[in-house]
Amino acid sequence: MKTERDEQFHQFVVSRRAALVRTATLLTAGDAHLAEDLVQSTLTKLYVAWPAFQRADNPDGYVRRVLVNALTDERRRWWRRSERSMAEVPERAAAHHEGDVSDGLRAALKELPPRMRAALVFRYFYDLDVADTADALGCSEGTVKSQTARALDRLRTVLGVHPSLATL
Amino acid sequence: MINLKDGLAGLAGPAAEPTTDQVAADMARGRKALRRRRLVQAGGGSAFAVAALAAAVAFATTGGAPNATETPLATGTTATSGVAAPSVKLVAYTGDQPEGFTLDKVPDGWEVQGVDAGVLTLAPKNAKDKDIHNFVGKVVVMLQSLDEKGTPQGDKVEVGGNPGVLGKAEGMTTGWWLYVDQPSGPRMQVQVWDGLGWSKTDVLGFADGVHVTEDAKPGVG
Repeated sequence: MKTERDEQFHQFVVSRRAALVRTATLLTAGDAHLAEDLVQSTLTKLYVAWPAFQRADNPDGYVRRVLVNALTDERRRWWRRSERSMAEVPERAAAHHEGDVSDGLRAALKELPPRMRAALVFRYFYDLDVADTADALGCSEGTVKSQTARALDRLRTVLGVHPSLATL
Repeated sequence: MINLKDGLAGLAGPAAEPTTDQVAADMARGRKALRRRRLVQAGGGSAFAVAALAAAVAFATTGGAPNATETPLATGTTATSGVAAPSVKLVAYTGDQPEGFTLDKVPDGWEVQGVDAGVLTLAPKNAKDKDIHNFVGKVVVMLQSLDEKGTPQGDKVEVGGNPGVLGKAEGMTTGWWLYVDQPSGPRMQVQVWDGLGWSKTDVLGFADGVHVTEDAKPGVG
């Protein structure tokens, strides 16, 4: 028998799962297996805490926090370790074809620690402000600023001084 | 030319609508987790509930009841209840030694599922999941990430003459993490997935038979 929670959760999954998978894919630097795991974990936690989620002033922020917590969960730490870095940062391609940059971006994201990667994704893909990003990561705004600055520096190392990075 | 947002959008992939099966599976996982939580709450973390759950998991994991003639390695206690937990019988490891580590003992009925540059994964021989990077229901050995700073907080222990720290993440019942200092280089880590029924002594007994070689490489992140 379906409860009200079930009905609401069902609607939530149908409408939001695809977006969650995309976010999780970015947070895991393109690791589809781990992204799916994060989404499943996040949805399970949301179902269990559904009343609290429903009462949240900022439901989107709530979901982001749950997702980040799943990413950084102690029990999953070693999952993330499977995102093993490449032995060396890939050398910058002589010519920036799109495929080269995409591959380089993926490799560069993999090089970033997960929380730094999350800061970058929330700030520069989802256009969250520093405060909302800090809320998602459970850290200070100053930490968000320093993390994103370092993330961009590392991306520049891999991708070169690209116009889209130079303006950030 | 590609900008950062476009690059990230490409990496995120298309927004694929979930299938009916996916939605149903999400619902089932949620309901199961909620039932589990309510069971624990109803039992108030009672000794019976915890012991019964651990025993059931151990039974399922080992594929049967322990042989009465077997001598358990040790009888440990859960951190939350003080109740005796099922023990793990360790047997001599006779297979090929994995790169990066050497093993003296493995749980009876388990095997080295695989090893790569930085992770050694052990699982029951009949485990359906053969992905060495999926740690659910398994025991994993590796070196501490270079990005992990500071000293882990937990019970101070000694493993193979080296100091270590043993603990559990919040919400774990019989899942453990163990860090063991090495004469040089990063600490060795052992992770026992929650629900396997390992006691503290089981973890230490297993870890005592794990040795890091110079080929082991720490991870990052």
